[in-house]
Amino acid sequence: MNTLRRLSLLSLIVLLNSCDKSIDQPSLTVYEPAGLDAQGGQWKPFVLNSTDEVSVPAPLTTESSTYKAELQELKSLSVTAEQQKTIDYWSAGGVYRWNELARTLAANYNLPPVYDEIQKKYPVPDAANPTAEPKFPFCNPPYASRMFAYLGVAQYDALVAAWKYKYQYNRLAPAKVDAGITSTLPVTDLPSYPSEDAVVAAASFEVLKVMFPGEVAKLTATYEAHRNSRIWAKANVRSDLEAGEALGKAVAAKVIARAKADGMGAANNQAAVAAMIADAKARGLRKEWTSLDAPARPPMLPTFGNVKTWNFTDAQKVTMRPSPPPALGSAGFEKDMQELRDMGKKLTRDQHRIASYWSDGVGSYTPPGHWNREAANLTRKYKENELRAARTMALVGTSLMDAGIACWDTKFFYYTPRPFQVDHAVRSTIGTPNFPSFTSGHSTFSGAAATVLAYLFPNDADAMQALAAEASVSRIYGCIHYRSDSDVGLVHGKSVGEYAVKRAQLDGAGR
Amino acid sequence: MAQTPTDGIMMGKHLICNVASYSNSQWSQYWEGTLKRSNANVGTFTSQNVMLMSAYGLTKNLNVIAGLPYIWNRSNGGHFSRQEGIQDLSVWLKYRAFRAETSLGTFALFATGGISAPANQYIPDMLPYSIGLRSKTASIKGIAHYKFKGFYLTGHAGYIRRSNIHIDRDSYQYDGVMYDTHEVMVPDVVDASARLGYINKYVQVEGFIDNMTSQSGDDIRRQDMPFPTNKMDQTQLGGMAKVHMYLKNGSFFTLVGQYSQVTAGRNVGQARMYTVGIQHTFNVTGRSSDLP
Repeated sequence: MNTLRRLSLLSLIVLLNSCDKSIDQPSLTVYEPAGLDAQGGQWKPFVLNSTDEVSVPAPLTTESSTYKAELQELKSLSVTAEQQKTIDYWSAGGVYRWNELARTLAANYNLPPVYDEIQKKYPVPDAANPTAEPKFPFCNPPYASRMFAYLGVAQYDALVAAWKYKYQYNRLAPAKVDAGITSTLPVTDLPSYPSEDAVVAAASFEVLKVMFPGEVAKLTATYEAHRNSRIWAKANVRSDLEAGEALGKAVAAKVIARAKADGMGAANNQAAVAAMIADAKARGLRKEWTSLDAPARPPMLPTFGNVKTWNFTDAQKVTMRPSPPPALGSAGFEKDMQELRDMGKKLTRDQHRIASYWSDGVGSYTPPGHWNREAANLTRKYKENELRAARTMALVGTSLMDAGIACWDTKFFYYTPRPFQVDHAVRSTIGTPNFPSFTSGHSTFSGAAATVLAYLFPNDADAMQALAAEASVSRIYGCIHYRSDSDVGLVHGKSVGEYAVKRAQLDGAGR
Repeated sequence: MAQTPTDGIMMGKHLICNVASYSNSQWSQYWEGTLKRSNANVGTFTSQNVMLMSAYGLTKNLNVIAGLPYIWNRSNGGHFSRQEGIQDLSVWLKYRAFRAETSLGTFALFATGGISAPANQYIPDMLPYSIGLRSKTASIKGIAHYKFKGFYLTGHAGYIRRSNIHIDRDSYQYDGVMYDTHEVMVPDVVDASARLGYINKYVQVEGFIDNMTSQSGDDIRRQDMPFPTNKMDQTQLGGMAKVHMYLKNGSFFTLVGQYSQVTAGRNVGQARMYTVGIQHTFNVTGRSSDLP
């Protein structure tokens, strides 16, 4: 018995000490880009009509004393361990890291306002007072789709301009100019003036300050860390950074001007809801969607469908709008409804896994964030340079925002009830979003993003389409969408994505 | 009669005690971080469980205890589906390290070591509906027990090591930071209790206070759902009573009732809970039971 006692005590001590609680996350290493895209300055931007809209002054020659002093600064640098960590972090890619930060902010801000028991209403977040409850923004899926789109576009347009001036002035990296300098990052033939990292940092910083006005302090620190990492790595001199910063800011100002005028300010027009319902009823709707939140919450951004699109016109949006779903009470509707009633009883663990994996609900970075992550990972997988990575993110980002607009337009055009509203026996494991059912937002977002990614990364085309199909069906497994919502949404999303592909075919970048 | 890893009672050698109990816990208010609130999207939350448990005297100073609950969780507000299933299998060894009978009463010290592991692939990150956190645990507890003329005072303190878990998602946030992995940290817990009671051959009554305090973790964010990383703390007050009924064959049945109320908490519901149970104790060798 003593042996048993000793053994059990020993095994307990081993158990208590063996499990390390730290969370292993994949660490991202630096790569040398697969290509430099020397003609990238000719690519078609999204917001700029031409790169001539912004100018970058000619750099000082490499013979000038000022430039030599800048080189000397790099030579005499000694880097602390903490600084090296910052270098390593940003070496994963500026476009990648800023998108990753945007995903974190999206998740941090994806919380619906709390009901005000005294005023008897849900307060609306106030951009002028972003840190007060409810914090601004409520980064819901439409808001997130728009935020990612402008981030990607600002990075891309600014980098197109940067590439133009890089190859126009052709000032090489410090380590190429002076053999006495060894950068701790890979050195390519990409001209270093203006610095692509400073361009990305400034453009991203300016856009995210507008999108998350309560995060200026954190964003400022991030911006400075990114910028400094290039000096510490001896990858840029100060004038590379200063020119990049000015260019990034100038382009961001134009992109932000587009954002201010895109109609987002009118996307939460609750006054329009009564007419929307009346119109949907006139078209044959038998029972309109009502909020499942308690107390009932006004629908999420009911007029987001009117916001300005990127890759197609309003007329094309209307032409693409899906035909109506099976009417309540019809045989087609009953078939979909019965599938959900059965789902509640027969849901397998793997089906739940899929529902949960794609839930992307409150507190998450939303479906647009999920697809931004897929896209950002592919830019690294294929070792895209900063410009090409930004193009990927801009094409996917604009397509996701287009999908959000087209889907919201459809949802509030038909105004159909959620499954739980029709039958309270159909309960969800993942939470029902606060807007009408037809079509599924997940399906539309996923169809659009997967179509763009399948075009950009043909080796991963099947994988992307499979992910989109899984995201789409996940909403049926979660019992929050009828099959018709998901199937039609996925097809609609693919049509949305095709417009971004058309743009990509003509933007001068090749595939 | 030992049926918990934290009381001051041992089963005699060869005695086995089989327990079946039913618990019902309800709350309509919870702490979102430190803010106490109600939420019409949850309404009243009800958790029920049926617990099967056995304690066996390997020797008079070493007992082994095992337990397995089936849990049902639901709420009457909102549109989330209920969750139910077999939860975690627990096994404890309880060792009486010291016992002294003096004219001033009986003193005893115990050490309990336990492990638990999920017996099922249940969903851990659908809180509060999830039936558990899916963590594997290893715990160690120290118990001090003093008895004088039937009156007793028992205190315990323990540490529960909880393993990280894997959730279906590979992206989540903990304390404002995004993690791109399925792996989720679950806080370790320190627990402690004090029990004051009276026991004789036929009855036992006691009042207790217990506390669990997470050693790390974050708060539920405003209007968010709970998550396994949350720092879940609570203090509850309760009372327990047992009645023993002896059979001619030397075995005996025990009826147990318990009621408790959470009085303070963080990231948990303010639950009140009752438990009713029946126990059967007998000597596996067929001899008449040695009574405590």
